This record gives sequence, C-alpha cells and structure tokens, in this order.
Amino acid sequence: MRTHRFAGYLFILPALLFFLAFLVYPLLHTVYLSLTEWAGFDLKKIAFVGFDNFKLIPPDWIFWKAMRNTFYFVVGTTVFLNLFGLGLALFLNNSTRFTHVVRTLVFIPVLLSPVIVGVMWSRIFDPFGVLNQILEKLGLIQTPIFWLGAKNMALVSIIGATVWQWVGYDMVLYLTGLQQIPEELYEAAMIDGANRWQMFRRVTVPLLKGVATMVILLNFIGGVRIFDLVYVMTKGGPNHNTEVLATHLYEVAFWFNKMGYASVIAVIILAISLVFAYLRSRLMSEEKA
Amino acid sequence: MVAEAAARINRPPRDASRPKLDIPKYFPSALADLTFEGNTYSIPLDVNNLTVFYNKNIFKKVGQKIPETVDDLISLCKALKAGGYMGIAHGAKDGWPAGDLYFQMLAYSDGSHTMLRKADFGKLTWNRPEFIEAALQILKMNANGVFPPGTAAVDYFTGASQLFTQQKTAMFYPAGSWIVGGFDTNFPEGVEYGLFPFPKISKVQDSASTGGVATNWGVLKKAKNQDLVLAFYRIAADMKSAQILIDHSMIPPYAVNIQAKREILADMIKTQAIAQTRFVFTPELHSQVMSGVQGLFTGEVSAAQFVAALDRVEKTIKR
Repeated sequence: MRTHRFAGYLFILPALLFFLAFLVYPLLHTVYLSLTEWAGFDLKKIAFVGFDNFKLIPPDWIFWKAMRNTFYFVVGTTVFLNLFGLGLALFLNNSTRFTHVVRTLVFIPVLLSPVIVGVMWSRIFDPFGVLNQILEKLGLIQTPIFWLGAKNMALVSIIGATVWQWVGYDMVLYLTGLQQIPEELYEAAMIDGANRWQMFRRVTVPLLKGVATMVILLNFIGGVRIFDLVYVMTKGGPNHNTEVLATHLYEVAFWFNKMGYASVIAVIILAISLVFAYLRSRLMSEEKA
Repeated sequence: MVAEAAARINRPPRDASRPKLDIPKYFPSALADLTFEGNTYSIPLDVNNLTVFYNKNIFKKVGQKIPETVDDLISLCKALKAGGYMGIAHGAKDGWPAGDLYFQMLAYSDGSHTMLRKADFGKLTWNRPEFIEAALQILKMNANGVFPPGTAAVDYFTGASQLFTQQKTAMFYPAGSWIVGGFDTNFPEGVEYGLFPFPKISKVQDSASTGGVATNWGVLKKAKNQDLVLAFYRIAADMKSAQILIDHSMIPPYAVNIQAKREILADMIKTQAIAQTRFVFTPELHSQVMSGVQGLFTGEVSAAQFVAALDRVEKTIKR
C-alpha cells in the first residue's frame, strides 16, 4: 500500500514540479513584487515599499480607462461568443458530412496564433483595406469606416476579431454538452406535444446550464487577460480607446520600467479572475444542492 | 568621455593610409540625447533625422513644388487631391510616428528648442503657448486634408509605407535612412523620390528637422579591455569610418565633407545640420504625447486637452 502511494507521488512529481515552478512560484513572486519598487534590471535593487504601489491606482486615469475597456471587452465577447457558439452548436448538432466539414472550418481559427489573427484583421480593417473596399463597391458606404481608428469603433472591431477566432471553441464545448443530453428526453417531450422552442427551453437549456457556466467563466477569464489581439491590432490606441488591463500592464512594466506597479495590475487581473471562478463554483454547488 | 579616453590610452600604431585620428565634434543634438544630468553615457555611431519623403513623379505630374510652410503644404494637398492623390502617409497607429510629428511641430513653435527638455524633466508646465501651438498645427493640417482619412488607424511599415509606394500619397512622414531600402524595393521602376524638411509654421523661420541617435556605443563599467574598446570607438569615428557609414546609407553623427553617391543620402546628411533633438527621457510623457496625437487625429482631443493630459501624467510621476 505504502509502495503504491509512493509510486503515485513519483508519477505526479514532474507535473507537480512544473506546476510549482511555472505557476505557483511566479504567482507568489508577482504578489511579492507588487509590494516592491523595482525597475526590472538589477535583482539587488528590489526595494520593499509595502502598499505604496496600490496607492498609484486611484490617480492613474489610464488604468481606469483600461478597466472600463476590459469590462466592455469581456461583456461583448462573452455575449457574442456564447450566442454564436451555442447557435452554431445547435445548428451543427447532427452527424452529416456537411456538418463535420463546417465544424472543422469554424474551429480552424482557434488553432491560429492570435498574432496572425491580429495582423490579418488589421489589414482587413485598414481604412483602405478589403472590408471597406467591399462595402464601397456594394454601395453601402461612401467614405471609409475607420474600424480601428475611430474612438467608438476600435474596441468593437477587436471584439469582432476575437469572436471570429474563438467562436469555434465555444461551439465545440456546447456541442459536447448537447451530445450528452439523452435523446429519450427529446422523444418524451415530443410525445407530450412540446414544440422545438419548448424543447429548447425546457430540456436543452436546463441540461446545458453546467456547460454554459463553464464556457461563460472561460470567456470571462480569457477576456480579462486579453493582450495579444489588442496589442497587435491597436497597441491600446488610438488614444487609449482600446487600452485593456494587460496592455497597460505591459506598458508600465516594459516601457515605464515599473515592475512593482505592473505587478499590482497583474494582481488585480488575478483577483478578478478568482472572483469569477469562485462565483462559478458557488453556482455549481447550489445547483448540486 | 571620448576626450578623456584619448588622454589615457596608448594610440594604436599609426596606419599611414588613414588620416590622423581626431575626436569628432559630434552634433550637439546627438550628444544631448545621450547626456543625462551632465554625464554623457554613450557616444553616437550614426544618427537619423526625420524628413518628408516625396514622390518627384507625382509632384511633376500635378505641377507642384516643395512646400515651404504649413499653409503651402495645405494648398499643395488640395492640388494633389484634385489630381487624385492624397497628401502625407503617416503611420500614427504605431504611436512613435505620431509623437515625432508633434516634436517636429514643436521644433517650429519653440524657437528656443529648450522647452521640451525642461518639460521632460518636470521643470516646465505643458500648458504653454508653444506646446499648444504645436498641437494646433497638427489639428489644422488634419482638418485640411494633409493626412489621409483614418490616419490614426494606419501603421507605419505596412499601411503608411504601402500608401506611399503604391503612389496613393505623394508624401511620407517621418522618413529616415532606415526606410530607403524598403522604398527602393517597393516602388515601381522609374519612380524617383526625394526629401525636404517638414514645412515650417511661418515664412520667417528657419527650416528644422528633428533627429536622434540611431545607434550608439557604450562600454560596461566592468569590461576588461576598456582601453581597446575606446581605441576602437575613436577609429570608428574618423573620416574613413564616416565614408564606410555613408556607403552603407548611414549618417555620421558629425559634420563631414564626404559626398554621398545617392542624392537622397546627401540631402539627409545636409539636413542633419538643422536637426533638433526629439528625445524624451520620461517614458510616461512620451507615451502620452503619442496617445494624445492619436487623439488629435481622431478628433476627440483638442489642443488644450492634449497639453492638460500631459500635465496630468506629470503629476503621477515620482521624481
């Protein structure tokens, strides 16, 4: 028995070491750095300053703009990813050659590097890019739309690119959930005279609740951490209108050389993600109860 | 630093084919970028100055000449528009070109060329007529079609440079020696391009460009062979090395009597003499200048709001 237990620990040891080295330690170190002043160069020049870095948050109007933009981004992407993801899953929830091909095509963007996606969409959204050219040829616009250059359009455009890339991921998760719903429940509902909408409301939705909360949580956490697409497409501009928490963190850390304050922003991102994870866990427990 | 090194080290054996080694008189603007609180930390290898590149073929086609002032530039762009062309391709999305545009206008609005450095170090408020005027000039040019629509969304190396090489715009800014190779490759054959300093605000001013150090040398405090390093740097700063730099389309950081084979490089070398520094030591302020200019382009920021944002950022900096 003891030998089996020891063998068990040995098997998990590599993964545990990896977890400790690349997740736990950096996390704890970041929390520590948030209490220090450090330019990020000489390890001997890390000075403990307590909570002074946290006091930099209130007057930092770029932080608050980034927080607001992150909120809009999270809400926007979560709503549309789930709407389209679920919609596609419902539409493709049957096993034909056509649906297999379409599912694959929808999933391909998930496999692309976000940098490639960002560069591609930047070209599409260029004032003289293909999207404006098509819209002008169709007579839908007379002058170019500044997808990434107008105050109110830039973040919407990035949300669009994000949904394009990740909708396949949500679709696959919802598909998995749908395929676990026993067919007999739908048959029973049909026998009881339920129409398609009633079956969706009374059978599909309740049984997809667990999958949906997980998908929404993953979308939230992914949204709070967004960096790559924003950085490639706009670098947080124009004029901070697409600045998100992660891009502001990047600028503070690697341009302003304020590792301590950047770590504070990282801690805030972590705290927000933990709140979402906790809420989800509470919801799941209440459901089970 | 270089003078001190010359006093200390043994000179390497004299190569008869090379002229006598001498300490070059670096351009003051180049050394200013590498000097902090009176200490020079590095010496320049080569410099860049930012000018407007223009398509000579388009200018000839629409019958226009090089503009001297911003008002001339606006008239030029109206004529270009009538001929089916746009004005100045400018990659404001990348941030740094937008900042450079502001510093260029500031080189004209601040005749003393000292206010940027003072504000950079928190010794001057940004809410001054000179800083506001530079922002107003950008607003004026943008409102009058000098830049293509949506410039805040156009990046430098792909968007703006393609607008220029595809001959949709007649001009490109900011341009320096780094981009000459790309333009040579991407322009169709037969297209000729040249440069001029950014137009000034008023006729009575002298022309000015802005510039800065492209590559610079340093030596680590703990380096073992510092004397040899410094000897090499001194060799790298002589006229023969200057010729090597010019042959590789780089601009020496001191005045030279060498004629570059290409006209555009010769013009760049000439323009270096009028280059003002555009270097900002405080990254938070530099970042805000870039963002603010993007805001000027999108129309969401006025000139007063532009400088107010800089003063706001200054208050958050611990000096």
